[in-house]
Amino acid sequence: MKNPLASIDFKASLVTPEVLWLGFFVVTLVFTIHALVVMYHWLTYGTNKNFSFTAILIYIGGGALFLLSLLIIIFAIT
Amino acid sequence: MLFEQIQLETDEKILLVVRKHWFIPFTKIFALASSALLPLLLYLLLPTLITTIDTTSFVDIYAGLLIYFYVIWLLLHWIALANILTDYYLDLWAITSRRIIAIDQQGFFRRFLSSFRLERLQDMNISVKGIIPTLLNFGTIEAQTAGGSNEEFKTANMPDPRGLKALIISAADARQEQINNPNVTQQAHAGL
Repeated sequence: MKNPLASIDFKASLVTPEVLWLGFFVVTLVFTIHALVVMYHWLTYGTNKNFSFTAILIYIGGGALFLLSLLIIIFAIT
Repeated sequence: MLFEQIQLETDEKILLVVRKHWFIPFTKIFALASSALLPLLLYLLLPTLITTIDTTSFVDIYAGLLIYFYVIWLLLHWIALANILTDYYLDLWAITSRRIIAIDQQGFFRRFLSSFRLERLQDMNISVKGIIPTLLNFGTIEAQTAGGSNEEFKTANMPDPRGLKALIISAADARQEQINNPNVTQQAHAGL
């Protein structure tokens, strides 16, 4: 069966592997900065330490899953 | 954490920490979830809406790219969800045995913290407007304080405004009595 993930003609497309990698690095940077800001706020102004830690872990874990999915997709289509 | 920064006075006890009603973040999260699922909905509906173009083959050819962009879309929604929950979690009223601390968090870099002492409480008003606030019991609570500036503290969408008003008035009465008669403990009068 033909793999649809490997079917992009990058030469004919504006979306080159470099663009995909650039997109990945930009969203990783945005997420990292945002996670640091969220972490600072929840740990500084939160009312419950355990709750804040758990929420931060869930947020970073979820974000890491999305970033991992992006990595897998990039490797699959390039 | 918050209360270490506020530095409660000796004998000052936290009676209640109250955040906005759950319905407020729920509506935002619902809108966010709808937006996150929109591309999937378009993917399902597009073939029926546009019959002149063969959208199935387009999706097949660019499946990898579409998934790539959809994951980025979901990640941006994940970030927006964190913003909504941060706003909800950090926006609160803390009612202590001595004062009311109102914190208004607007985004990450705008934060207003105001407090007034219970003995300065002059008047409290609540208003519940609309069908949903009436059914779910949430509304606006307003506290006016005595003093030169005649300050007013107002927060919308607070849960159980009547109960909150009763608690604050009871705590304010207890505080006033404690000031008038320092030997009587505040808790005994407030019944809290």
